[in-house]
Amino acid sequence: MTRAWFIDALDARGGLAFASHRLPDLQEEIEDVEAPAVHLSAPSFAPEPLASRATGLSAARAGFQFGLFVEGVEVGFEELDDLINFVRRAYGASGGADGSNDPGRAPPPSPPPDGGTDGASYEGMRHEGEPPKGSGAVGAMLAMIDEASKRVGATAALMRQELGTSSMLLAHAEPIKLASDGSDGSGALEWAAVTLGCELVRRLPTSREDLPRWLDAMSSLCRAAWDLDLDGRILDHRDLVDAGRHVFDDRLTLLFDADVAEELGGPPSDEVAASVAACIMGCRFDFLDLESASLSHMPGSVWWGTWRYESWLRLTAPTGPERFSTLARWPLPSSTAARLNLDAATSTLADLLCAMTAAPMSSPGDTLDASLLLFAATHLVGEPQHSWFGQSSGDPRTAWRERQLRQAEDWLVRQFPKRIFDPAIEALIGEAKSLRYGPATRKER
Amino acid sequence: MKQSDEDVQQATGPSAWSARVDRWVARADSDQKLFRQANKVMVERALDGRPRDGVSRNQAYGLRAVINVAAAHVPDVLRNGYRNCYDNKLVPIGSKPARVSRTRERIDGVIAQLVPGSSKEQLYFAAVELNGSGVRFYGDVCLVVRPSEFDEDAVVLDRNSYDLARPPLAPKDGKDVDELLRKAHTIAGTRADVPAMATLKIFDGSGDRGRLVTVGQVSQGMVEDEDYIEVPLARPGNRLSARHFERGRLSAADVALDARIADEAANGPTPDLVDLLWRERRRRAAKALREEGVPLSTVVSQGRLR
Repeated sequence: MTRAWFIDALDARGGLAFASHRLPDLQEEIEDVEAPAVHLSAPSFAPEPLASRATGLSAARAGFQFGLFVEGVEVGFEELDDLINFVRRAYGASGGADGSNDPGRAPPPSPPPDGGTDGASYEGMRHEGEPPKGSGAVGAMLAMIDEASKRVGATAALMRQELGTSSMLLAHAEPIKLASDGSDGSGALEWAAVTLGCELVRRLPTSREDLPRWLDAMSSLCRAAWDLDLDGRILDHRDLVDAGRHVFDDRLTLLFDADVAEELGGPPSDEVAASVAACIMGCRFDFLDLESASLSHMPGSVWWGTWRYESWLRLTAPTGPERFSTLARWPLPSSTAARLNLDAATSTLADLLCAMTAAPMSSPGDTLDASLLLFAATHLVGEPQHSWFGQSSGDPRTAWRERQLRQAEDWLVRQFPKRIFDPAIEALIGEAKSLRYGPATRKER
Repeated sequence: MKQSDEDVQQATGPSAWSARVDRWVARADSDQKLFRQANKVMVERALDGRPRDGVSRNQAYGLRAVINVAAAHVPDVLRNGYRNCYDNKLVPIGSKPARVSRTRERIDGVIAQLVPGSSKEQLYFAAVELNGSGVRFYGDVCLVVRPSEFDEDAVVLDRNSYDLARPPLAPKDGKDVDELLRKAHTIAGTRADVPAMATLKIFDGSGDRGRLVTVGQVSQGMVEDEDYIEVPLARPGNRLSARHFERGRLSAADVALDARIADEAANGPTPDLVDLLWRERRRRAAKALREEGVPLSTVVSQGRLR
C-alpha cells in the first residue's frame, strides 16, 4: 500500500484542516500519531508543519469532520498541493451556503406564493427571462473546465485500476490553463443587472418595516449598475413586465407618492408595467428604450415622482470598499438557485460567485448564470465610471467598458481552479455548498 | 518536565500539583531557590488576579477557559451553542466513516472518568488562557468563557489529552485502557491547580532565571503553539452560547491581515475570493458578537490585551 497525504480533520466552512503523510489508518485500532503532519488555515492555506497528529486528531472533538471518506475509504492525495487545493476550493464553495447559515445575511425574502395582481399567483406570472446572446469569455471558460474534468476522470479511472487497492481512493488532478478569449460580454452585464433588479422588484415588501433592508439592496444594485455604466441600457426583458405587474397597485405607495400611484391607475399595459419595474430599479423614463405611445402621454406627476425616487435611490446608495458584502444583498431567481444547487430562499449573488468559481462542476449554470457571474466579478474589480463619460458615446466609453470586462475576466481566471480533479473528487467540493454548523439539512450519505 | 517516580506516585490528591512545584523549588541551589519561590508566587498572582495582599480573587482578570472557532461559525455558536462531535451531527463532505477514531474513543472515555458525573458526550474541550487569543489552530475567533462557568473544582489537564496517545505517555499496549487511565491521572488536576501546572510548564527546561517573571511572560507561556493546558468542560444539556461568553478575542496578526484585504479591495489589486470570503465572515462574526452583547478585543501580543 502506498503512503499519501490524507486529511485527519477538516472544517471546510471554517477553512481549517489537518493533514498527514501516512497510510490510511483512521479506521485502524491505533493511528500513527507521529506521522508528518501539517495545518492549513484560511485565507492563505499555506502549510504549517506540526509536531504530531495529536492537535489534528483532537480537532474532531470540536466539530471538525473526521477525515475525508468516500464509501468508507479514505481519500488520499499524491501531492500536498492537491490536498491544499481541495481544502481551499471547499472553503470557497462553502460560501454558497452562507445565506442559509446566517439569518442576518439573508436577502429580502421571496413574496408569498399566492401574492400578485389580477388574482393570478406569483409563480403563475413568472416567465424565465430570455438568456443573453452570450456571456463573453466566461461561458467559454466554464466549458473548458467541463471538458477537462471528463479527461481527468478517464485518467483517474485507469490509475485506480492499476493501483488495484480498495483501502483508499487516490485523488487525481491535472492542470488546466484558462484565459479570456476576448469575446464581447457587455450585453451579458445588462442582462444580469436586469435579472437581479427584477428579482428584487418582485421582493418589494408589503410593509414599511421590511422596507429598509429592501432599499439597501435596491439602492446598492442601482449604484452598481451606474458604476458599470449600465444606466438606461434596458433591453426587452420579459421579466420586467412580470415584476412590474407583481407590484402594481398595492405596493407602489411604499415608494412613490399617492398621486403618482393614482395617475398610473391599473391594471397596467405591458409597457407601463415594465416601465414601472425599470423605474423602481432606478432607471429614468427618459432613458428607456421601450417604444410606447402610452409612455409619452404619462402625466407629469408620474415623470416627476419617478425622477425624485430615482435620484433619491442613487444618492443613498452605499459606497466604499464593501463590494463583496453588497453581492450578498442581491437575491438570485429561484430558477438560477435550482440550477446551481443552492438554497432558493436565501441564496444571493455572493453565493453564486463562490459556488461557480470554487465548484464549477457542481454548479452547472447556463448562459444567464454565467452572465450573473461576470456581473459579480465586474462589480468587484471595476472602477466607477469616470463622470465625464456621462451620456457620451464613442471610443472612450467603449474602451473603458472593455477594460472593465477584461479585468473582471482576468480576476475570474485566477479564481477558477488551476488543477481539476476527477469527477468523484469534484463532487465532494460541490457538497461544501450545503454545509451547516450543527444538524444539517443535506441528506446523509 | 520529566516526571519523576515521586511525581507519578503522588499524582493524585488535592495537593499533588502544589507538592510538585515545591519539589521543583527545593531541587534548586540556594540562590536560585529564592527566585524559583518568588516566580512561583508571581505566576499565582498573574493567574489568580489576586491583589498583593492575596486576599481575594479579582474576577475582572486572571486565568480563563477559552474555545476557538472559525469566524464562519460564530453567529451559530452564539445563538445555538457550541457543539462537540457528539451533538454536532455534522453531515460531512463525502461519507461518514464506519466508526469514529478508536484512539479518541479510548481517550475521551478515560477523560470522562476523571470528570465526576460526566460522560464523553457532555465534554467540551477548552484551553486555559490569560491574555492571549487561544489555540489558533482551531479557529480565528477566541471566545472567553465567563469565570462563573469555570468552577474551582473543574477538571484540568496539564496538556492536550491526546498526548496520552504519544510516547512517552502512551501505554506500551495502546489499547490498555487501565494504563491509559493511570497515566491520565498524572496529568490531571483542577482549576485550583492551574497556577502550579503553569509554573511547571513555563519553567520546564528554560533554565533558571535570575529575574522575576512578568504577567506578559506568564501569559505567553500559557499557550505556546500546540502546547496548552486543556479543560474538559462538563456541560450536561447546557451548551456554551452567547450568555456564557465574557468576551471575544482576535489576534493582532489576523486583524492586520483583515485590514490589508480591505485596503486591497478598496484600492486594488482586487483580493482573491477566499480572502474576501474570510474577511466577510469575520465582519459578520463581529456583528453577531456585538448584537449578542459580547465585547470584542484584539490581542496585540501573547502577553497583552487591548
